[in-house]
Formats: sequence, C-alpha cells, structure tokens
Amino acid sequence: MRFSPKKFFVSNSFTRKLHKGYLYVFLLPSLGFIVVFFLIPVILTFLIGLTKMDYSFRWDWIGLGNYIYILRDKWAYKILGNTLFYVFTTLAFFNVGMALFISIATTHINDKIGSIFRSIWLLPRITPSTVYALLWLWAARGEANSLFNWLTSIFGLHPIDWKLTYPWLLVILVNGFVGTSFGMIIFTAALKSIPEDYIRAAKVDGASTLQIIRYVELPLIKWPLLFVTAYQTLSLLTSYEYILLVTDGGPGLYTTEVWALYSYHLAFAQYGGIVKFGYGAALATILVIIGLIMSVIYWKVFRFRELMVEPKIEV
Amino acid sequence: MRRGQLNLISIALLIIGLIIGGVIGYLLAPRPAPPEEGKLQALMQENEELRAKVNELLQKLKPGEIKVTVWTIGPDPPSEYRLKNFFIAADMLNSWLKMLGANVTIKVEGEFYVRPVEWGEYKNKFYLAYKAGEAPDIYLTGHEDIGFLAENGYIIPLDDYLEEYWDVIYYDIFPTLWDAVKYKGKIWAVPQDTEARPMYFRKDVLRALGWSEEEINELPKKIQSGEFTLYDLLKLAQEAKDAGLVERGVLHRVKEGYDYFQFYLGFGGKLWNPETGKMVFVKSAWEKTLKWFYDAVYEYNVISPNQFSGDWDKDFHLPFTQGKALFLSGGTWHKGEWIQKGLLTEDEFYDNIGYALHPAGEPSMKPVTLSHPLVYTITGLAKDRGVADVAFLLITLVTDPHINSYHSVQSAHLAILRSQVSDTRYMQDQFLHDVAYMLDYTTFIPNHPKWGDYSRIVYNILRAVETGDLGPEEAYNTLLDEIQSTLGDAVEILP
Amino acid sequence: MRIVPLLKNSIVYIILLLVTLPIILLYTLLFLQSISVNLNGVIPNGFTLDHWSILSTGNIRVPGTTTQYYPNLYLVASNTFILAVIIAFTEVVLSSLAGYALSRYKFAGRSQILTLTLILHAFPGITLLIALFYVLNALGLYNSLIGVVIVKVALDLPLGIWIMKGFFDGIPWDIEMSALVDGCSRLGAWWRVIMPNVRNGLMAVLIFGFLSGWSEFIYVLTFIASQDYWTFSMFVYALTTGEYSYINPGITATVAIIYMIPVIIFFLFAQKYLLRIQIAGKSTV
Repeated sequence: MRFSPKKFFVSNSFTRKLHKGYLYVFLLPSLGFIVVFFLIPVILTFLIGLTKMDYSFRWDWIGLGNYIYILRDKWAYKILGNTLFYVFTTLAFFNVGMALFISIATTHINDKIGSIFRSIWLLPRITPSTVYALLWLWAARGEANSLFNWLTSIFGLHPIDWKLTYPWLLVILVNGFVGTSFGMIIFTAALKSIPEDYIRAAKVDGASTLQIIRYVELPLIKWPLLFVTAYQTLSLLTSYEYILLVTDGGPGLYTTEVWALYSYHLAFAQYGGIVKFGYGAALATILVIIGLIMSVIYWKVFRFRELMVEPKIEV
Repeated sequence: MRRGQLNLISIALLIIGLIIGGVIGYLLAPRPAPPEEGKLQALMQENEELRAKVNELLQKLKPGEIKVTVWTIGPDPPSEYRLKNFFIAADMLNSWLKMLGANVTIKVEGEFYVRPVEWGEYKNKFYLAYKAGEAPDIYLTGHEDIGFLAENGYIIPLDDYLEEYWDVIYYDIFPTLWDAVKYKGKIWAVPQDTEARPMYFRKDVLRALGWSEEEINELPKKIQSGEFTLYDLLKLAQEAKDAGLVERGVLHRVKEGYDYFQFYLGFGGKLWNPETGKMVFVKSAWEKTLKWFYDAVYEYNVISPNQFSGDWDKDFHLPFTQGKALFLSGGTWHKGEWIQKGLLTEDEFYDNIGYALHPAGEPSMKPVTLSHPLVYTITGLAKDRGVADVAFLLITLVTDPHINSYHSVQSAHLAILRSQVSDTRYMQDQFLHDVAYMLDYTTFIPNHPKWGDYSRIVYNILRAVETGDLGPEEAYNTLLDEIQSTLGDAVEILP
Repeated sequence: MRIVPLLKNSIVYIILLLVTLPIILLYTLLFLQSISVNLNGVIPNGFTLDHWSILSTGNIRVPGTTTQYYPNLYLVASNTFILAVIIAFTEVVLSSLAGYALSRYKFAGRSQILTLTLILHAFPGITLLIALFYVLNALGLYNSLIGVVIVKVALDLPLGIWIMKGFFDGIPWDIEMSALVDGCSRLGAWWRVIMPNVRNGLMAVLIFGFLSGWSEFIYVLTFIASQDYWTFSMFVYALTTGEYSYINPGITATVAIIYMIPVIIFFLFAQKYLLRIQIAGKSTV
C-alpha cells in the first residue's frame, strides 16, 4: 500500500534530486546541538563526578571517592528517604491518583463542562514556575489574611505558617497540581477511545457507573496507567525547580531536600562560594544513570514510538 | 600593551601633577621667613623639570577612554556607596586629567548587588564570569576568600603598589585590618570596611520588666565585664517572654552566615592558629555552644526552632524593630538598614534599642564580637586588560576618610582609617562612636581556603540542633566527625 | 427515578469543583492582589490601580536605596521576549529539518538516531546542569542569552523532532512526488509543498518553544550573571524572595500578570496545540 522510497530511488529518473547531500543540511544542525549539549554533557557529568572539582576548575581525579563519600554522607540517607517519599506521595495522590479521578469524572459528566475543568487543570502546567510558586507562597503565608488561613478560619482554626508547619504538604500540593495534567490528558484520551459499545453492553447488563469504571474502563486503560506511572516517576525523581522556589529544601535541615536539589545546592548554592562540582556531579550521575535506564525501558516496554507518532488526540 | 603603557603614563601624569600642585602650593604659601636663596632656586628648577616631564608625557599620551569595571555587593542596599564611591573617584580623576590637559577619561562601570542576590550567588557569578573572561577589574569580597582567590590566580598581589603609594593614604589604615588581607606573606587586597556584630536589646521591654534606666544602661558594661553571660541572656529572654512582653526571646540571622561563630567564641572557642595557619576546633567550646543552642530552643523556648528557615523581614527585622523580641544578634549595618528602610527613626532607635557585645559563655570567659572586613581586590583579568594600574589608582582614591565615610555612615559600618574617626560626617554618628570599643573584642574569620567548608558544616549542624533533628550530644559527635573527615589536616582539634 | 442520577452527578460536580478550587482561587488571588490595597483571603480591601503605574516608567525601586537596582521592566520584558522567540524559531527550523529527514530519508544510522532522540526525549536534561555549565563556559557562552537559548534548544529538540516527524509521516509521498516531477528541487519541494501541510505541527512546536523559553528559570538563574540579561522569571523570583519583601505584593502581582500575558493568550486561543504538546511533551513533573 505504502509508497516505498527504496523502489522510488531505484526506478525514478529524479534520483539526482534526491541526492543525499541534502540529508546533511536537514540533519546536521540538530545532531550538532544534541551532541554538544546532550551527549557531551552526559559524559562530562560522569567525568566531573570522578574529580573533586571546585572553582579552581582543576581536574583533581579522585576515582570513586565521591561515591564512597555518598555512602558515608549522613545526610544523603535522609535525602534519599525524602526523595522516595516525595516521588511516591506526589505520584499516588496527584500525578496518577488525581489525574485518574479528574479524567474519569470529567468524561462522565457533560462534555463541555468536563473539558472546562480539564482546561483549568492545564493552567498550572503552562504558568511560569516562578509565578506559580509565588501564588502558593502567598496562599500559605502565616498572616491571618493569607488564603489558607482565611479558609481555615472559617472552621475556627488559628492562623499558622503553612510553609513552616506543613512543608511537605505544601511541596506535594505545589508539585501535584502541576503534575496532574500529564496523566489527566493521557487518561482522558484513552478513556475517550474506548468504544461506546463496551459501555453500552455493560449498561444493558445492568452495571452501575462505578462498576463500569471498575470492570470496563480501568482494565482498558491499564497501559496508559502504567506508562504515566513510570514516566512521571522519572520526572519527579529529577525535578526540583518548584521545591527550590517554595521551600528551598527547608525549613530546618534538609527537611524537604530531595536528591536532585541536593546536587544543585552543592554545585551552585554555597554561601561561601565553596562549591562542590565533583560531589554534585557524582550525585547527578546517579540520576543520569537512573534516567538512562528508565528511558530505555520506556522505549522497549511502552512502544513509546507509537505514542509519539500519533499525538493527534483531541480532548 | 599599549593600554598598559597608557595607564602607567596617566598615573605618572597624575602623580607628577599632584607633586607640581604641592610644590606650587608650598611656594605660594606665606611663610614667616623666606627660604634660603639656594633652596628656592633648587625647588624652582625641580618644578621646571617636572613641568617638562609632564609635557613630554602628555605628548606621548594617546587620547581615549579607559574603562574599569567594579563589582560590589551589599547585600544590604544602604551599602551602595561601595560602588558609588568609585563614580566619585572617577569624577575626581577626570577633572584632574582635564586640568592637566590630558585627553584621557576614566570610565567606571559597575554592579552593586542587593538581595535577593546573596553572597553565594555573587561569588558564583564572579568565578563563572571570570572563566568566561567577563569578570570585573575590581572585585569586592569578604577577606576570608583571599586564600582561595590567590591560590587559584583570580587576583593579583598588591605589595608593589602598596609600597609605592603607602604614604598617600595606606599608612592610615588600622594595622589589624592589614592582617585580614595577608595570605602567605603577601597582601592581596585593600580593606573597604569593617564592622562589629552587636547583641541588640530592646530597652522598652526591659523597662516594662521593671528595670531602671540605670540598670538598662549598665547592661552593656555588665556584658563587657563578663558578668552577664549567654545563659543569663536566655533567662532574661525567657522572663520577658513569660511575662507576655515579647513573642520571641532571641533572634539571630535567618540564613547561612558567620555570625554563629560568636557563640562558639563566647564559650572560649578559637577559629584559627596564626602560627600554623590552620583552623582550630575547640572541642569543649563546641560542645557548650551546641548545648546552648539546644537549650535556647527547647529548655528556654526563646529561639524559634525554625529561625534558620525564616524570612529576613518577618523573622528578623520586623519582630525586633516592632518590639516583639528582646534580643537580636545582628551587625552594625542592621542599624543602617532599619533607618534607611524607615523601620525606625534615629530617635526611636536610641530611645528603645541598646547594643552590647555578644556575652561570654561563662563568667570566667570573655565577651566577643566578630568582624568580617570587606576588601577590594584587583583581578588577574584587570592585569590582562592592562587596567590594573588605573584600578589601583581608583582604589587609592576611594580609600579616603571623607569618601569612605559616605559608606560607613549611611550603612553603619566602621571606619578603616585612623583619620576617618575624626571625619566630620563620621564623628557626628553617635552609634558608630558607641560601638567603636567593640573592635577591641573582635575576631576575624580565618583566611583559609577551606573556611567555607568549616562554616557550612557548622551551619548544618546548628540548624539540625534547632529543628530538633539532632540532640546536643549527637550533634557534637556529628560535627566533630564531619569536620575531621572533610577538613582533615586543615584543622587543629583542641580539647 | 431521575433524581438519583442527578444527585449522583451533582456529587461528582461538587467534588470536581472542590479539588479544582485551589487553582481557581490562586489565580483569582493573583488578579485581585494587583488591583487591591490589601487582601483578606480573597476579599479585597479597597480598590486601586496604583500598582499598575509601574508600567509608566518600568522602574521598581528597592526601598532604602537612592538608586535603581532592579533592571527596568521593559528591558526584562524584551529580554524574555527575545529569548523565547529565538528559542521558538530555532526549534521550529531545526526540528522540521531533522523531522523531515528522519521521516523521508533512508540512510545508515537512521534507526540509531531515532532511538537516541527518543531516549533523550525521556531523559531529564536538568540533571546535566553542572556539565552544561562547563560546556557553556568552555564555549564562552556563559552569561549570555545565546547560551541559554542553545541549551534550551538542545534539550527541547528531541521532542520537537518527534512531533514533526509524526506530522511528516502523515503526509502521503504522492504530494511530494508530483512537486518533484514538476521540477522542484528537493529543498524546494520541502519548503513549498510539505511545509504548508504540517502547519499544525509547526504551530505546536512554535508555541511549545515559545512557552518553554518564556518560562525558563533554572538555566537563567544558573547561566546568567548580569542583571542586564534578566528575564521575567528572575525578576519575579527577585521580587518574591528578596529580604526587601517591602516591595508591595500588588506590584509583584502586577509584574506576574504581565509575565502571564502570553500564557493566557495561548491558553485561551490555542488550547488544541497546548494539549498536543502536553501529550507529546515530556513534562518536568
């Protein structure tokens, strides 16, 4: 059925025009960018992780010294625990949980109203991070007239400083409200592509809405569910921008510090300017390796390619 | 090369110009007795020679503009004269050049960083910009960085310049400040300012506690004599808090910094050994310091467990200026900020706020304060660009009692020059006069390339103590362990 | 009989509304903050347009200083705009070129490049910050908007290439063939025949690139030293976190709203592209 380029090349008299010379015009710029600013940095990250580089920019090789230090680093364990807690809580409650709820709820109500709700959930995602963080910081302020305290005062509660009292709650809310949209869109698309007949048949059999969701819809979106979970795990694991903006790892010592933020802090945020590029890069290397492994897994397991080729899903 | 020559020439011109001026002034000044015939002759001749030299140099001089870049930081906005003084200096220089008929102008370009840019970011920017060749010619930094900067070729030694121009102004700088800018036997920077870190207290709260005016005024002296200790401070703060007079007892800075070392010093700690050049860790002093912080938060409830994560305004400036806290461990420059920001008027400040040294830890110990002189350095890039000479000339001009006082008075920093103390602006400032004695009790931070690590480890541990993540003993063990494993030989452990 | 489903439905509506309420309130808050003297929760205390007067000069002063230490609002706006536009156009050009090559040409290494781009697409570029900084420094691009542009483009490209390849795959070969037969060069055919057919893809990549550049924060924070090159993200960050939070929140809100303008425009008028990007797009969270 499909046009075969190979046949075309052999048989067509316009072969000259299809000369591969153009190929490089098309491809090289992008490849250049990707090699210099993607592949080389990956290699450099590994290499810097083997040194104790600081602002002297000297390559003082110390082998696996940094990795041994990670094992001895008292705070690394706390931060690892924080990271796992952050990733799984945000994932469970928002990136998958809330996303699933929103997409199921909005596909079972009036379609127009449903899509309005989904649009609203898209807003945090496209809002610049600094503005978005600012909104939450304002809402969570300790003053009695801040949004949270104003709301809780309706129930007669005293004003508190939310950032200091419940830092994790704030971190998870901030990230969760951004993170929901990805899963929401994918789930909604998957739900909408379920043939009407399946639902109708279940209804005829006397299934309730909840039963339809549980026994018809959920099994059918198993793959998207798995995909979103895996994909967002990696995203959350390496994300730190919002935490940096909202709590900066505080309050207290590394209370909400996550692995990626720790690496950032060591490399770029030292009060005395005594940075640790080497140690920071070693921490980052661990994330890079996890990232590479998971990317390969997506590619193998989730037939990523198909998902990518057909992004034309209208929600 | 051409640039470098140009600069040298312009400097020479200036110096010559100044000498001519001096000679002329000397000649014109009325004198009781006319100088001897021969001497006058000699002076006249010297004058002529200098004139000829100037003209010769002027002819060689290529017209143009010499640009010098300066980076400075507050981060407190009132310290803006750290940069502005260079504009004043450049104006002076340009008018002199014009008087001499030189077709050369000096242009100063610079940045003055204020918060939210903090020291860490400022230093990052310098190092990174240096690598990119975009760092300034003159770089203001804390003296403790000199070791690192010098070791890695970021700055140039200034001994030759200082020797040559010592008599112009540099002899006037307090000798202790020169100690702060020496590293491995050379001088690497020129002091810009210094300060003390007082323990501020609210007089009105003490009045409400029933203290007489006399008792209140005695407090700084009691602290100075070591009679009033850090634990007395906790007790007093607790008393005020229990009486409902204040919401918070003691405030300290909310972000990383060096101020915390004052408590360690108060408990008999030492920061470095000038003989070996190594940093010092006094075990007993750290043990007591950590215990004190723990007690302050959990026994006396006068420091908030989240003080380290607080906001500069909400958890530091405002509670104190509004009288909702009794003590504030601050710096002289905070007075400048309160006045400049309009949080307090001068009258309100003197009426309600007192200031003393940081108390001694125990009665047998000494009260302390900490100074952190900021210094101007000349970067290696300035040398490459051939403007190091002009840069030094500008630094020489801003190191002037009158010009430096613009800065010290507005921002409440202390004098660096002996003659500055009698500068009219400086003299009028009551506060600067009152705190001057504190410099007798001060300590500098070590000029050690690894100082930043020491400071960071201490900060982390103190933060963990306040938040309750670590108990005082556990914290002490962790601190000792981290200091030893990270700094190794660079630090001497004393009992 | 009809009451039950209605009730069920309204419970769903109420829950949906409750979970969505924080978003609605946050953005309402931002808007009200910019036009109120003071806010109590979301209840304004007095209406004012004073905060918007910063638009007249673009200067925002730090209290306690006599000099202007924040860059001018309009300088910041134009920096941000330039950054976003260059990023958007570079991404469109490069990804449509590469996407076309990967869709139409058969050559050694094609499948390797495809795999690589895919893996990179899922790979979190933010973990490379230290190394990227090293590379930029080596190239002398530290402290320049161009440095940020290049890093952003490189990290966004894999996504753009995949979006564009998808669109090219969807165009039948016949269209291109007939152009070639009519005497177009390959490049000419690509430009005149193919490109108009992938307009939607180009729009998606363009909007994605623009928003990605417009919102960028971490790379600007890390790779830009001079205030002359500040973008809105740095500006809002400065106004939010400074010790001198004496900057009236109304002014901060006003700046934030100005910063949000393109976002709001795209949100209202180009949602189908946004959704497309969302699906294909690697999201940071």
